[in-house]
Amino acid sequence: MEFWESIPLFTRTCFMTRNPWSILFILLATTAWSQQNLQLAPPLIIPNSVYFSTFSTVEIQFNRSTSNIYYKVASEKKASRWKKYRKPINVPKSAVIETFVKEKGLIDSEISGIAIFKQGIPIKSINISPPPDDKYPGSGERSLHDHTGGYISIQYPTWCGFNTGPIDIKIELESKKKIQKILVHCLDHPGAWIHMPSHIEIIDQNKTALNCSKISEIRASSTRPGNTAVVVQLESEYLSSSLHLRVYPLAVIPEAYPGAGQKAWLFIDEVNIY
Amino acid sequence: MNRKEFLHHSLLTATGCFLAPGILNKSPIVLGHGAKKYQLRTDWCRADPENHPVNDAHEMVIDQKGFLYLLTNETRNNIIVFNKDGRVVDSWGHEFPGAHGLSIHNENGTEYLYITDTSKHEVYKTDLKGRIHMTISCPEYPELYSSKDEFVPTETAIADNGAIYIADGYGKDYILQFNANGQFIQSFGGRGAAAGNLLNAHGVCIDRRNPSRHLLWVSSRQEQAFKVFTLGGHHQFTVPLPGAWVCRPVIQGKYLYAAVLQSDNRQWQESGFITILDENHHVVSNPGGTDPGKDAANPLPMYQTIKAFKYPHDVCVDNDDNLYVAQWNSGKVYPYLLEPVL
Repeated sequence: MEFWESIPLFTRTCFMTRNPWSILFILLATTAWSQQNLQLAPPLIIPNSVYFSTFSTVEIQFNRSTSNIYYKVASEKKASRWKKYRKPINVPKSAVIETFVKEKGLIDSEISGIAIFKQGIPIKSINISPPPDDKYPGSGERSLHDHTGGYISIQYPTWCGFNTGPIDIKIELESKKKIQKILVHCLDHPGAWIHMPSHIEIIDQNKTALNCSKISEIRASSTRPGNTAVVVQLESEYLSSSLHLRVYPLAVIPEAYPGAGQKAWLFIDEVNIY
Repeated sequence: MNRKEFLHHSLLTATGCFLAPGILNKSPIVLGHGAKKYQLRTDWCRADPENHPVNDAHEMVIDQKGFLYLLTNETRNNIIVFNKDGRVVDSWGHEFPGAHGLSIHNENGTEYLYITDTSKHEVYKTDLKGRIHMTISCPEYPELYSSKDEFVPTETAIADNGAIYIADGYGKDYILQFNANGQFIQSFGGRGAAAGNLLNAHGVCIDRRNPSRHLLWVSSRQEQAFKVFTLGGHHQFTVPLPGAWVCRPVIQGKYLYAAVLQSDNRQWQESGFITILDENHHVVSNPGGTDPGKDAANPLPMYQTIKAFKYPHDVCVDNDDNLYVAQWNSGKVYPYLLEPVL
């Protein structure tokens, strides 16, 4: 009796009717239920450079011949539709490239993405205070304007990691320029206690904060961890050959994230000025 | 049959007819490549989580009678013994909170288990019923360790002469050699930039494929490589495995099997798979991972392609080439079975 009662009511009813079609249906449904619905893993996105002057060539890899790769490119003003990937793509503007793979009989992969950035106004030098933590020194102050790195890996040697703040970044340009917008390139990796900055100030030569606002983040929205740029827009153009940024790390990791209640790490790779 | 019954049967029949073609055409997913292809069975294990819970399912070995021993850091039953049908036949062990590494060794006809505990910083030799016969602690050599806690053993391998090799894979990455009585002989490996240094020396095993020259294989997991030593500790060669965070090597027949904890390009994102190398140390199959490619001299970066596993931590191979895969931090799942596809 106990065994019979442990069978779902719907199944019991079908067997009690003794209708062969009903029983066949149950058997097929059971078979379907026990079939594995495995998901594909996301493909690899390999730009020849995250930071580029004219264009970046982006290769997407997925070493499984029975799968098809799809991608789309979204720049500030335009987003393409999903296209089938056939060969490396040249991207001439700052953009987010997203991709996934598809194969009959398997669940589509998650979408993965990476952001790539066109270089801004040439920077002569950068001074950082306090310096990066000894564990994640990057290649020092040069890291922030060497146009290398930006990849989504903590170990990548161009990330400067900070566990204290605020961080003062003083930038000397090669000449006096009109400045409208600043991009600070950060790693967003909450699983490793690495979070985006809470806010960024731009300070003028009189040590007063300029009116500016964080307008957006450039990121592959589907991807975490991800490489992300915080975009700060000045309310009016600022003519100068130098710039002082004050970047505030997230003071406390919020609940629901690994390391909640601890100080967040801030990883910066590059600063671009437009 | 009344009208209500007729409608009921008709509805079920129509639904069955609609679903049947799609269901019957659905072929099982085959993992792996070349001669090493497998069908995944996640439901192999028939244990009841209420009675035989697992936390991290760390490692598995098989005894001469064909019983499978799973080591977990769940202290309600550190060891769970299965038959090949996945039914629990025994369980024991409550005293290994950091249970991590499990090896089996036949000592003059009697089999013993070697359990490493990363929390207690010790290695235990037990019989198959869990009675402890020997305990090995951190060697008292200040030039190696300034405190006992620096010794975090992850794996053992036992040579034919009884020598015990312990991988300090979460400690200082030494391979420590002891004699059969547990007396310290020497250390090698350790961190550094030389060919014989190790980074996350997670697993170790004796390679007996050449009867006249046994070798010691060590995983240098974060370096994504196996490093091969003589039993005297001299580095012989390195097998690079780009992209693959390999756990301990397991040798069965002419093949070497290993769980890959994760793909380097997707660290800590449940991106593991299994890798299989032939006797020439070439990757021939990656169940759940990339096609190894044809150019063995220039191995392609490996990574997960199908999410069959999260963090596979060990592979146990039986005489029928079935693979039993134990997983770390993967939702307290029991081992999965990979059945060979002939």
